[in-house]
Amino acid sequence: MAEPLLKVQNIETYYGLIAGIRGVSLEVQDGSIVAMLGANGAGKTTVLKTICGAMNPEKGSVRFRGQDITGRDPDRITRLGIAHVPEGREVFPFLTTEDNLKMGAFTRNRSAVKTELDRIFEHFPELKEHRKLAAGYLSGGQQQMLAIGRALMLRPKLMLLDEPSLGLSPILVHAISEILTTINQVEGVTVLLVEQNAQMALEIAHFGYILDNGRVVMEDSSTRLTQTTDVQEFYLGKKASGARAKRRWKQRKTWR
Amino acid sequence: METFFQLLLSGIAQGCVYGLVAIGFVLIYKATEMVNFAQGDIMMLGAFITITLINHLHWNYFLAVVIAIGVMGLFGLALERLLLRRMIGESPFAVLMVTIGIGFVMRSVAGMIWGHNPRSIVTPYTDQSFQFGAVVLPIADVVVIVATVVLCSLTFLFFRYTRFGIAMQATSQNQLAANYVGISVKRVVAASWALAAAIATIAGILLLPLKSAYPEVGLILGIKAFAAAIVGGFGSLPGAMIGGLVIGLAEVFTKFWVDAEVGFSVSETSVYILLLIMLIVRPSGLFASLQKKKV
Ligand SMILES: Nc1ncnc2c1ncn2[C@@H]1O[C@H](COP(=O)(O)OP(=O)(O)O)[C@@H](O)[C@H]1O
Ligand SMILES: [Mg+2]
Repeated sequence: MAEPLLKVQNIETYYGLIAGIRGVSLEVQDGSIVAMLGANGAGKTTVLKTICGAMNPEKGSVRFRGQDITGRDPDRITRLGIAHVPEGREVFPFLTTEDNLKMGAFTRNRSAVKTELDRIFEHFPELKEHRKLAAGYLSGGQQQMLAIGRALMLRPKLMLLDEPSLGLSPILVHAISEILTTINQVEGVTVLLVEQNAQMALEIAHFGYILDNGRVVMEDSSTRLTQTTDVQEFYLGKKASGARAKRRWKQRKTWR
Repeated sequence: METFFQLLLSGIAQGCVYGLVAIGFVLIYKATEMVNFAQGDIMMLGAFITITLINHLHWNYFLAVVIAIGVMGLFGLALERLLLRRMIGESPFAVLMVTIGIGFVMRSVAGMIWGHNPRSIVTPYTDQSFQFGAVVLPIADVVVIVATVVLCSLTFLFFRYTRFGIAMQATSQNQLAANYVGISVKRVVAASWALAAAIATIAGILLLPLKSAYPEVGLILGIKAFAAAIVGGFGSLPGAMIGGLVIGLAEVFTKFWVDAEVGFSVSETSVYILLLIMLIVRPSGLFASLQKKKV
Protein backbone atom coordinates (compact mmCIF):
# COMPACT_ATOMS: atom_id res chain seq x y z
CA MET A 1 0.00 0.00 0.00
CA ALA A 2 1.17 3.50 -0.78
CA GLU A 3 2.56 5.49 2.10
CA PRO A 4 -0.08 7.69 3.76
CA LEU A 5 0.08 11.46 3.24
CA LEU A 6 1.06 11.95 6.88
CA LYS A 7 2.69 9.32 9.02
CA VAL A 8 3.48 10.07 12.64
CA GLN A 9 5.55 7.44 14.38
CA ASN A 10 5.82 7.14 18.10
CA ILE A 11 6.44 10.83 18.84
CA GLU A 12 7.23 11.97 22.38
CA THR A 13 7.21 15.71 23.01
CA TYR A 14 8.05 17.51 26.23
CA TYR A 15 7.34 20.88 27.83
CA GLY A 16 10.57 21.10 29.76
CA LEU A 17 10.35 18.02 31.94
CA ILE A 18 6.61 17.57 31.52
CA ALA A 19 5.57 15.09 28.85
CA GLY A 20 2.93 16.54 26.53
CA ILE A 21 2.63 13.28 24.61
CA ARG A 22 4.24 9.94 25.37
CA GLY A 23 4.46 8.04 22.11
CA VAL A 24 1.77 8.82 19.58
CA SER A 25 1.51 7.17 16.18
CA LEU A 26 -1.06 8.03 13.58
CA GLU A 27 -1.64 7.99 9.86
CA VAL A 28 -3.64 10.29 7.65
CA GLN A 29 -4.53 8.94 4.20
CA ASP A 30 -4.51 11.30 1.27
CA GLY A 31 -7.94 12.83 0.69
CA SER A 32 -9.42 11.79 4.01
CA ILE A 33 -10.72 13.60 7.07
CA VAL A 34 -9.22 12.20 10.25
CA ALA A 35 -10.51 13.19 13.68
CA MET A 36 -8.41 13.24 16.81
CA LEU A 37 -10.49 13.25 19.96
CA GLY A 38 -9.65 13.43 23.61
CA ALA A 39 -10.33 15.25 26.83
CA ASN A 40 -8.61 18.46 27.86
CA GLY A 41 -4.92 17.86 28.43
CA ALA A 42 -4.86 14.61 26.47
CA GLY A 43 -2.11 15.94 24.22
CA LYS A 44 -3.99 16.81 21.04
CA THR A 45 -2.54 20.29 20.65
CA THR A 46 0.94 18.95 21.32
CA VAL A 47 0.56 16.42 18.50
CA LEU A 48 -0.39 19.17 16.05
CA LYS A 49 2.43 21.42 17.23
CA THR A 50 4.88 18.61 16.71
CA ILE A 51 3.59 17.88 13.21
CA CYS A 52 3.82 21.52 12.11
CA GLY A 53 7.27 22.02 13.60
CA ALA A 54 6.39 24.45 16.39
CA MET A 55 7.73 21.84 18.84
CA ASN A 56 10.44 19.27 18.35
CA PRO A 57 9.81 15.71 19.48
CA GLU A 58 12.29 14.05 21.79
CA LYS A 59 11.70 10.77 20.01
CA GLY A 60 9.85 9.52 16.96
CA SER A 61 9.36 10.88 13.48
CA VAL A 62 6.93 12.79 11.31
CA ARG A 63 6.76 11.93 7.62
CA PHE A 64 4.84 13.92 5.04
CA ARG A 65 4.49 12.66 1.46
CA GLY A 66 7.19 10.14 2.15
CA GLN A 67 9.62 12.81 3.37
CA ASP A 68 11.01 12.99 6.89
CA ILE A 69 10.08 16.44 8.23
CA THR A 70 10.80 15.85 11.91
CA GLY A 71 12.16 18.94 13.64
CA ARG A 72 12.08 21.27 10.63
CA ASP A 73 11.27 24.93 11.21
CA PRO A 74 7.53 25.63 10.99
CA ASP A 75 7.87 28.07 8.11
CA ARG A 76 9.55 25.40 6.03
CA ILE A 77 6.87 22.86 6.87
CA THR A 78 4.20 25.37 5.86
CA ARG A 79 5.93 25.69 2.50
CA LEU A 80 5.40 21.96 1.94
CA GLY A 81 1.63 22.55 2.05
CA ILE A 82 0.67 21.95 5.67
CA ALA A 83 -1.61 24.69 6.98
CA HIS A 84 -2.45 25.04 10.65
CA VAL A 85 -5.56 26.55 12.19
CA PRO A 86 -4.36 26.89 15.76
CA GLU A 87 -6.26 26.57 18.99
CA GLY A 88 -7.75 29.92 19.95
CA ARG A 89 -7.71 31.27 16.37
CA GLU A 90 -4.55 33.36 16.71
CA VAL A 91 -5.40 36.00 14.13
CA PHE A 92 -3.19 39.07 13.73
CA PRO A 93 -5.35 41.47 15.73
CA PHE A 94 -4.12 44.78 14.30
CA LEU A 95 -3.98 43.74 10.67
CA THR A 96 -7.11 44.05 8.56
CA THR A 97 -9.10 40.95 7.70
CA GLU A 98 -7.74 41.17 4.18
CA ASP A 99 -4.11 41.49 5.29
CA ASN A 100 -4.61 38.53 7.63
CA LEU A 101 -5.76 36.47 4.68
CA LYS A 102 -2.92 37.70 2.49
CA MET A 103 -0.46 36.59 5.14
CA GLY A 104 -1.90 33.11 4.72
CA ALA A 105 -0.43 33.13 1.22
CA PHE A 106 2.89 34.59 2.39
CA THR A 107 4.85 31.65 1.03
CA ARG A 108 3.06 31.65 -2.31
CA ASN A 109 3.45 33.42 -5.59
CA ARG A 110 2.14 36.99 -5.51
CA SER A 111 -0.02 36.42 -8.56
CA ALA A 112 -1.99 33.75 -6.68
CA VAL A 113 -3.13 36.09 -3.93
CA LYS A 114 -5.94 37.85 -5.77
CA THR A 115 -7.67 34.69 -7.00
CA GLU A 116 -7.28 33.02 -3.62
CA LEU A 117 -8.81 36.04 -1.86
CA ASP A 118 -11.87 35.84 -4.12
CA ARG A 119 -12.14 32.15 -3.44
CA ILE A 120 -12.01 32.67 0.35
CA PHE A 121 -14.56 35.48 0.20
CA GLU A 122 -16.86 33.10 -1.66
CA HIS A 123 -16.57 30.60 1.19
CA PHE A 124 -16.94 33.33 3.84
CA PRO A 125 -19.01 36.28 2.59
CA GLU A 126 -18.95 37.81 6.07
CA LEU A 127 -15.20 38.22 5.88
CA LYS A 128 -15.59 40.15 2.63
CA GLU A 129 -17.93 42.59 4.38
CA HIS A 130 -15.28 43.25 7.01
CA ARG A 131 -12.22 43.09 4.79
CA LYS A 132 -10.91 46.50 5.91
CA LEU A 133 -11.63 45.96 9.60
CA ALA A 134 -8.85 45.05 12.03
CA ALA A 135 -9.22 41.36 12.83
CA GLY A 136 -9.25 42.07 16.57
CA TYR A 137 -12.71 43.63 16.15
CA LEU A 138 -14.26 40.56 14.53
CA SER A 139 -16.56 38.32 16.56
CA GLY A 140 -15.28 34.96 17.79
CA GLY A 141 -17.04 33.11 15.00
CA GLN A 142 -15.73 35.48 12.36
CA GLN A 143 -12.21 35.13 13.75
CA GLN A 144 -12.52 31.37 13.46
CA MET A 145 -13.65 31.74 9.86
CA LEU A 146 -10.70 34.06 9.32
CA ALA A 147 -8.27 31.55 10.79
CA ILE A 148 -9.66 28.85 8.50
CA GLY A 149 -9.64 31.20 5.51
CA ARG A 150 -6.06 32.21 6.24
CA ALA A 151 -5.03 28.55 6.25
CA LEU A 152 -6.88 27.93 2.98
CA MET A 153 -4.97 30.79 1.33
CA LEU A 154 -2.03 28.41 1.28
CA ARG A 155 -3.99 25.94 -0.87
CA PRO A 156 -2.75 23.33 1.54
CA LYS A 157 -2.39 19.67 0.86
CA LEU A 158 -3.04 18.95 4.52
CA MET A 159 -4.92 21.11 6.96
CA LEU A 160 -4.50 20.79 10.73
CA LEU A 161 -7.36 22.21 12.78
CA ASP A 162 -7.24 22.57 16.55
CA GLU A 163 -10.71 22.68 18.08
CA PRO A 164 -12.28 25.00 15.54
CA SER A 165 -15.72 24.60 17.12
CA LEU A 166 -14.63 25.70 20.58
CA GLY A 167 -16.92 28.36 22.01
CA LEU A 168 -19.07 28.66 18.92
CA SER A 169 -22.85 28.42 18.62
CA PRO A 170 -24.34 25.20 17.16
CA ILE A 171 -25.16 27.07 13.96
CA LEU A 172 -21.54 28.12 13.50
CA VAL A 173 -20.31 24.64 14.40
CA HIS A 174 -22.54 23.32 11.66
CA ALA A 175 -21.23 25.92 9.23
CA ILE A 176 -17.67 24.92 9.99
CA SER A 177 -18.35 21.22 9.51
CA GLU A 178 -19.96 22.00 6.15
CA ILE A 179 -16.99 24.05 5.05
CA LEU A 180 -14.58 21.30 6.04
CA THR A 181 -16.58 18.74 4.11
CA THR A 182 -16.66 21.01 1.07
CA ILE A 183 -12.94 21.74 1.00
CA ASN A 184 -12.25 18.07 1.51
CA GLN A 185 -14.55 16.86 -1.26
CA VAL A 186 -14.33 19.71 -3.75
CA GLU A 187 -10.77 20.90 -3.30
CA GLY A 188 -9.26 17.63 -2.21
CA VAL A 189 -7.74 19.02 0.98
CA THR A 190 -6.83 16.34 3.51
CA VAL A 191 -7.91 17.26 7.03
CA LEU A 192 -6.64 16.33 10.47
CA LEU A 193 -9.29 17.64 12.83
CA VAL A 194 -8.76 17.91 16.58
CA GLU A 195 -11.98 18.25 18.50
CA GLN A 196 -13.61 17.91 21.86
CA ASN A 197 -16.92 18.06 20.04
CA ALA A 198 -16.81 14.37 19.09
CA GLN A 199 -20.27 14.44 17.62
CA MET A 200 -19.35 16.95 14.94
CA ALA A 201 -15.93 15.48 14.29
CA LEU A 202 -17.06 11.87 13.88
CA GLU A 203 -19.90 12.96 11.64
CA ILE A 204 -17.57 14.35 9.01
CA ALA A 205 -14.46 12.23 9.57
CA HIS A 206 -13.61 8.96 7.88
CA PHE A 207 -11.29 7.77 10.58
CA GLY A 208 -10.68 8.68 14.19
CA TYR A 209 -8.09 8.46 16.94
CA ILE A 210 -8.77 8.83 20.61
CA LEU A 211 -6.05 10.26 22.78
CA ASP A 212 -5.79 9.99 26.52
CA ASN A 213 -2.98 11.01 28.77
CA GLY A 214 -0.53 11.47 25.91
CA ARG A 215 -1.25 8.17 24.17
CA VAL A 216 -3.56 6.84 21.49
CA VAL A 217 -6.06 4.61 23.29
CA MET A 218 -8.35 3.79 20.39
CA GLU A 219 -8.34 4.06 16.62
CA ASP A 220 -10.96 3.02 14.15
CA SER A 221 -13.21 4.16 11.34
CA SER A 222 -15.53 6.87 12.58
CA THR A 223 -18.59 4.72 11.97
CA ARG A 224 -17.27 2.05 14.30
CA LEU A 225 -15.99 4.57 16.86
CA THR A 226 -19.45 6.11 16.98
CA GLN A 227 -20.88 2.70 17.86
CA THR A 228 -18.33 1.92 20.57
CA THR A 229 -19.81 2.04 24.04
CA ASP A 230 -16.89 3.91 25.58
CA VAL A 231 -16.97 6.60 22.96
CA GLN A 232 -20.70 6.92 23.28
CA GLU A 233 -20.43 7.34 27.02
CA PHE A 234 -17.47 9.68 27.19
CA TYR A 235 -17.62 11.77 24.09
CA LEU A 236 -21.11 11.59 22.74
CA GLY A 237 -22.85 11.87 26.12
CA LYS A 238 -25.17 8.93 25.43
CA LYS A 239 -25.23 7.67 29.01
CA ALA A 240 -24.45 9.38 32.30
CA SER A 241 -23.53 6.72 34.84
CA GLY A 242 -20.35 8.52 35.87
CA ALA A 243 -18.60 6.20 38.34
CA ARG A 244 -19.17 3.01 36.42
CA ALA A 245 -18.09 4.59 33.20
CA LYS A 246 -14.85 5.77 34.74
CA ARG A 247 -14.08 2.24 35.92
CA ARG A 248 -14.61 0.80 32.50
CA TRP A 249 -12.32 3.37 30.96
CA LYS A 250 -9.62 2.59 33.49
CA GLN A 251 -9.88 -1.11 32.77
CA ARG A 252 -9.52 -0.46 29.14
CA LYS A 253 -6.40 1.61 29.73
CA THR A 254 -4.78 -0.95 31.99
CA TRP A 255 -4.99 -3.75 29.54
CA ARG A 256 -3.48 -1.65 26.84
CA MET B 1 10.77 85.92 18.30
CA GLU B 2 13.62 85.14 15.90
CA THR B 3 15.34 83.25 18.67
CA PHE B 4 12.19 81.30 19.31
CA PHE B 5 12.07 80.08 15.70
CA GLN B 6 15.72 79.21 15.71
CA LEU B 7 15.33 77.29 18.95
CA LEU B 8 12.24 75.57 17.63
CA LEU B 9 14.06 74.47 14.50
CA SER B 10 17.10 73.32 16.38
CA GLY B 11 14.94 71.47 18.93
CA ILE B 12 13.03 69.69 16.20
CA ALA B 13 16.25 68.76 14.40
CA GLN B 14 17.77 67.42 17.59
CA GLY B 15 14.52 65.62 18.33
CA CYS B 16 14.54 63.99 14.90
CA VAL B 17 17.92 62.42 15.65
CA TYR B 18 16.66 61.12 19.01
CA GLY B 19 13.52 59.90 17.30
CA LEU B 20 15.43 57.99 14.64
CA VAL B 21 17.58 56.21 17.20
CA ALA B 22 14.43 55.56 19.26
CA ILE B 23 12.79 53.95 16.23
CA GLY B 24 15.66 51.47 16.27
CA PHE B 25 14.94 50.58 19.89
CA VAL B 26 11.28 50.01 19.07
CA LEU B 27 11.93 48.01 15.88
CA ILE B 28 14.12 45.54 17.71
CA TYR B 29 11.84 45.43 20.70
CA LYS B 30 8.78 44.70 18.60
CA ALA B 31 10.47 41.86 16.76
CA THR B 32 12.29 40.24 19.68
CA GLU B 33 11.15 41.81 22.96
CA MET B 34 14.81 42.62 23.51
CA VAL B 35 16.01 46.10 24.40
CA ASN B 36 19.23 46.86 22.55
CA PHE B 37 21.26 49.23 24.68
CA ALA B 38 23.97 49.41 22.02
CA GLN B 39 21.61 51.31 19.72
CA GLY B 40 23.36 54.65 20.34
CA ASP B 41 26.76 53.05 19.85
CA ILE B 42 25.66 51.67 16.51
CA MET B 43 24.87 55.26 15.56
CA MET B 44 28.35 56.29 16.73
CA LEU B 45 30.05 53.60 14.67
CA GLY B 46 28.04 54.58 11.61
CA ALA B 47 29.11 58.19 12.06
CA PHE B 48 32.80 57.23 12.38
CA ILE B 49 32.68 55.04 9.29
CA THR B 50 31.22 57.95 7.35
CA ILE B 51 33.93 60.24 8.71
CA THR B 52 36.64 57.83 7.61
CA LEU B 53 35.21 57.41 4.13
CA ILE B 54 34.93 61.17 3.61
CA ASN B 55 37.90 62.62 5.51
CA HIS B 56 40.47 59.89 5.01
CA LEU B 57 39.48 58.12 1.82
CA HIS B 58 38.11 61.33 0.26
CA TRP B 59 34.98 59.70 -1.06
CA ASN B 60 32.12 61.68 -2.44
CA TYR B 61 29.65 62.60 0.36
CA PHE B 62 26.63 60.82 -1.09
CA LEU B 63 28.54 57.67 -2.00
CA ALA B 64 30.04 57.58 1.50
CA VAL B 65 26.59 57.95 3.07
CA VAL B 66 25.11 55.13 1.03
CA ILE B 67 28.02 52.78 1.70
CA ALA B 68 28.08 53.58 5.43
CA ILE B 69 24.36 52.83 5.73
CA GLY B 70 24.84 49.55 3.88
CA VAL B 71 27.85 48.49 5.91
CA MET B 72 26.08 49.26 9.17
CA GLY B 73 23.00 47.37 8.04
CA LEU B 74 25.25 44.34 7.58
CA PHE B 75 26.80 45.06 10.96
CA GLY B 76 23.32 44.91 12.51
CA LEU B 77 22.72 41.59 10.75
CA ALA B 78 26.02 40.24 12.03
CA LEU B 79 25.33 41.30 15.63
CA GLU B 80 22.03 39.48 15.53
CA ARG B 81 23.40 36.42 13.82
CA LEU B 82 26.53 36.00 15.91
CA LEU B 83 25.44 37.19 19.34
CA LEU B 84 21.79 37.93 19.92
CA ARG B 85 20.37 34.86 18.19
CA ARG B 86 22.12 32.77 20.80
CA MET B 87 20.30 34.69 23.51
CA ILE B 88 16.81 33.67 22.41
CA GLY B 89 15.06 32.15 25.38
CA GLU B 90 17.50 33.64 27.91
CA SER B 91 16.21 35.99 30.58
CA PRO B 92 15.63 39.61 29.51
CA PHE B 93 18.23 40.64 32.07
CA ALA B 94 20.90 38.48 30.43
CA VAL B 95 20.04 39.90 27.03
CA LEU B 96 20.24 43.40 28.45
CA MET B 97 23.70 42.73 29.84
CA VAL B 98 24.85 41.41 26.48
CA THR B 99 23.71 44.52 24.63
CA ILE B 100 25.29 46.75 27.29
CA GLY B 101 28.49 44.74 26.85
CA ILE B 102 28.36 45.16 23.09
CA GLY B 103 28.12 48.91 23.63
CA PHE B 104 31.20 48.89 25.88
CA VAL B 105 33.22 46.95 23.35
CA MET B 106 32.14 49.21 20.51
CA ARG B 107 33.12 52.36 22.44
CA SER B 108 36.54 51.09 23.37
CA VAL B 109 37.26 49.76 19.89
CA ALA B 110 36.16 53.09 18.42
CA GLY B 111 38.48 54.84 20.90
CA MET B 112 41.39 52.69 19.76
CA ILE B 113 40.74 53.28 16.08
CA TRP B 114 39.64 56.91 15.97
CA GLY B 115 40.96 58.30 19.28
CA HIS B 116 38.99 60.46 21.66
CA ASN B 117 39.10 63.84 19.96
CA PRO B 118 35.77 64.97 18.57
CA ARG B 119 35.62 64.67 14.79
CA SER B 120 33.28 65.87 12.16
CA ILE B 121 32.88 66.06 8.40
CA VAL B 122 32.42 68.78 5.87
CA THR B 123 29.12 68.19 4.13
CA PRO B 124 27.89 69.87 0.97
CA TYR B 125 25.71 72.02 3.23
CA THR B 126 28.06 72.81 6.11
CA ASP B 127 27.83 76.41 7.37
CA GLN B 128 25.12 77.35 4.97
CA SER B 129 21.90 78.91 6.10
CA PHE B 130 18.59 80.32 4.97
CA GLN B 131 17.72 83.81 5.98
CA PHE B 132 14.13 84.94 6.47
CA GLY B 133 14.32 88.56 7.57
CA ALA B 134 16.05 88.45 10.91
CA VAL B 135 15.69 84.68 11.25
CA VAL B 136 18.73 82.65 10.29
CA LEU B 137 17.99 78.98 9.76
CA PRO B 138 21.01 76.70 9.49
CA ILE B 139 20.58 74.33 6.56
CA ALA B 140 22.00 71.50 8.64
CA ASP B 141 18.87 71.64 10.82
CA VAL B 142 16.58 71.76 7.81
CA VAL B 143 18.36 68.80 6.21
CA VAL B 144 17.89 66.72 9.35
CA ILE B 145 14.19 67.46 9.42
CA VAL B 146 13.59 66.87 5.71
CA ALA B 147 15.60 63.66 5.72
CA THR B 148 13.71 62.42 8.77
CA VAL B 149 10.34 63.16 7.19
CA VAL B 150 11.38 61.28 4.04
CA LEU B 151 12.75 58.36 6.01
CA CYS B 152 9.67 58.09 8.21
CA SER B 153 7.41 58.18 5.16
CA LEU B 154 9.40 55.42 3.50
CA THR B 155 9.28 53.36 6.69
CA PHE B 156 5.54 53.88 6.91
CA LEU B 157 5.01 52.82 3.29
CA PHE B 158 7.21 49.78 3.83
CA PHE B 159 5.24 48.56 6.83
CA ARG B 160 1.87 49.43 5.40
CA TYR B 161 2.13 48.17 1.86
CA THR B 162 4.95 45.71 1.24
CA ARG B 163 4.42 42.03 1.84
CA PHE B 164 7.50 41.72 4.03
CA GLY B 165 6.60 44.87 5.95
CA ILE B 166 3.15 43.48 6.75
CA ALA B 167 4.77 40.17 7.69
CA MET B 168 7.00 42.06 10.14
CA GLN B 169 3.92 43.62 11.72
CA ALA B 170 2.21 40.24 11.83
CA THR B 171 5.21 38.71 13.57
CA SER B 172 5.23 41.34 16.27
CA GLN B 173 1.50 40.86 16.84
CA ASN B 174 1.52 37.08 17.03
CA GLN B 175 4.76 35.24 16.54
CA LEU B 176 3.21 31.78 16.73
CA ALA B 177 0.67 32.53 14.03
CA ALA B 178 3.38 34.14 11.91
CA ASN B 179 5.27 30.88 12.11
CA TYR B 180 2.19 28.94 11.09
CA VAL B 181 1.58 30.97 7.93
CA GLY B 182 5.17 30.36 6.89
CA ILE B 183 6.86 33.61 7.86
CA SER B 184 10.43 32.93 8.88
CA VAL B 185 10.65 34.66 12.24
CA LYS B 186 14.44 34.44 12.05
CA ARG B 187 14.39 36.53 8.90
CA VAL B 188 12.04 39.07 10.40
CA VAL B 189 14.31 39.44 13.42
CA ALA B 190 17.39 39.77 11.22
CA ALA B 191 15.65 42.39 9.08
CA SER B 192 14.68 44.35 12.19
CA TRP B 193 18.29 44.50 13.34
CA ALA B 194 19.52 45.52 9.92
CA LEU B 195 16.87 48.21 9.63
CA ALA B 196 17.50 49.50 13.15
CA ALA B 197 21.25 49.73 12.50
CA ALA B 198 20.76 51.43 9.13
CA ILE B 199 18.38 54.00 10.59
CA ALA B 200 20.72 54.65 13.54
CA THR B 201 23.51 55.26 11.02
CA ILE B 202 21.39 57.76 9.15
CA ALA B 203 20.76 59.49 12.48
CA GLY B 204 24.51 59.61 13.10
CA ILE B 205 25.23 61.03 9.66
CA LEU B 206 22.54 63.69 10.10
CA LEU B 207 23.90 64.57 13.53
CA LEU B 208 27.48 65.04 12.32
CA PRO B 209 27.20 68.59 11.00
CA LEU B 210 25.35 69.61 14.20
CA LYS B 211 27.60 67.92 16.74
CA SER B 212 30.90 66.18 16.36
CA ALA B 213 31.44 62.49 16.96
CA TYR B 214 33.51 60.91 19.73
CA PRO B 215 33.37 57.35 21.06
CA GLU B 216 30.97 58.17 23.90
CA VAL B 217 28.55 60.19 21.79
CA GLY B 218 26.27 57.22 21.34
CA LEU B 219 26.06 56.42 25.02
CA ILE B 220 24.58 59.76 26.01
CA LEU B 221 22.49 60.09 22.92
CA GLY B 222 21.33 56.50 23.27
CA ILE B 223 19.97 57.18 26.75
CA LYS B 224 18.06 60.18 25.48
CA ALA B 225 16.70 58.16 22.57
CA PHE B 226 15.72 55.44 25.02
CA ALA B 227 13.83 58.08 26.99
CA ALA B 228 12.18 59.14 23.74
CA ALA B 229 11.08 55.57 23.07
CA ILE B 230 9.61 55.34 26.57
CA VAL B 231 7.79 58.64 26.20
CA GLY B 232 6.37 57.26 22.96
CA GLY B 233 5.16 54.04 24.58
CA PHE B 234 7.97 51.72 23.46
CA GLY B 235 5.76 49.84 21.09
CA SER B 236 4.93 52.41 18.50
CA LEU B 237 7.15 53.79 15.74
CA PRO B 238 5.29 57.12 15.39
CA GLY B 239 5.31 57.31 19.19
CA ALA B 240 9.11 56.97 19.21
CA MET B 241 9.42 59.81 16.72
CA ILE B 242 7.12 62.08 18.70
CA GLY B 243 8.91 61.10 21.90
CA GLY B 244 12.14 62.18 20.22
CA LEU B 245 10.68 65.56 19.33
CA VAL B 246 9.40 66.08 22.88
CA ILE B 247 12.83 65.34 24.30
CA GLY B 248 14.69 67.41 21.72
CA LEU B 249 12.49 70.46 22.22
CA ALA B 250 12.54 70.17 26.01
CA GLU B 251 16.30 70.03 25.95
CA VAL B 252 16.83 72.98 23.65
CA PHE B 253 14.33 75.23 25.36
CA THR B 254 15.45 74.49 28.91
CA LYS B 255 19.01 75.13 27.80
CA PHE B 256 18.07 78.57 26.57
CA TRP B 257 15.51 79.66 29.13
CA VAL B 258 16.52 77.91 32.33
CA ASP B 259 20.28 77.32 32.21
CA ALA B 260 21.05 81.02 31.80
CA GLU B 261 18.75 81.91 34.71
CA VAL B 262 20.00 79.38 37.24
CA GLY B 263 23.61 79.51 36.16
CA PHE B 264 24.18 75.80 35.68
CA SER B 265 23.12 73.19 33.17
CA VAL B 266 19.59 71.96 33.78
CA SER B 267 19.09 71.04 30.16
CA GLU B 268 21.20 67.90 30.37
CA THR B 269 19.09 66.68 33.27
CA SER B 270 15.79 67.84 31.82
CA VAL B 271 15.63 64.68 29.72
CA TYR B 272 15.88 62.48 32.77
CA ILE B 273 13.41 64.58 34.71
CA LEU B 274 11.00 64.22 31.82
CA LEU B 275 11.62 60.49 31.74
CA LEU B 276 10.96 60.15 35.47
CA ILE B 277 7.77 62.19 35.29
CA MET B 278 6.67 60.06 32.37
CA LEU B 279 7.36 56.81 34.19
CA ILE B 280 5.42 57.99 37.23
CA VAL B 281 2.49 59.68 35.53
CA ARG B 282 2.00 57.59 32.40
CA PRO B 283 4.21 54.53 32.58
CA SER B 284 2.82 53.16 29.35
CA GLY B 285 3.91 56.23 27.41
CA LEU B 286 2.05 58.97 25.60
CA PHE B 287 1.05 56.65 22.81
CA ALA B 288 0.68 53.41 24.66
CA SER B 289 0.13 50.83 22.00
CA LEU B 290 -3.05 48.93 22.70
CA GLN B 291 -1.25 45.82 21.76
CA LYS B 292 -0.97 43.00 24.22
CA LYS B 293 1.85 40.67 23.34
CA LYS B 294 1.11 37.00 22.95
CA VAL B 295 3.66 34.68 24.40
N1 LIG C 1 2.95 25.25 27.92
C1 LIG C 1 2.92 24.11 28.64
N2 LIG C 1 3.76 23.93 29.67
C2 LIG C 1 3.73 22.79 30.39
N3 LIG C 1 2.91 21.78 30.13
C3 LIG C 1 2.05 21.89 29.12
C4 LIG C 1 2.01 23.07 28.31
N4 LIG C 1 1.06 22.91 27.38
C5 LIG C 1 0.53 21.70 27.58
N5 LIG C 1 1.12 21.08 28.64
C6 LIG C 1 0.80 19.74 29.15
O1 LIG C 1 0.87 18.83 28.09
C7 LIG C 1 -0.25 17.95 28.13
C8 LIG C 1 -0.95 17.97 26.81
O2 LIG C 1 -1.47 19.26 26.56
P1 LIG C 1 -2.22 19.65 25.23
O3 LIG C 1 -1.50 19.08 24.08
O4 LIG C 1 -2.43 21.12 25.24
O5 LIG C 1 -3.62 18.91 25.43
P2 LIG C 1 -4.98 19.11 24.64
O6 LIG C 1 -4.73 19.95 23.45
O7 LIG C 1 -5.41 17.72 24.30
O8 LIG C 1 -5.93 19.75 25.58
C9 LIG C 1 -1.12 18.42 29.28
O9 LIG C 1 -0.95 17.51 30.34
C10 LIG C 1 -0.62 19.76 29.66
O10 LIG C 1 -0.65 19.90 31.05
MG1 LIG D 1 -5.60 21.71 23.00
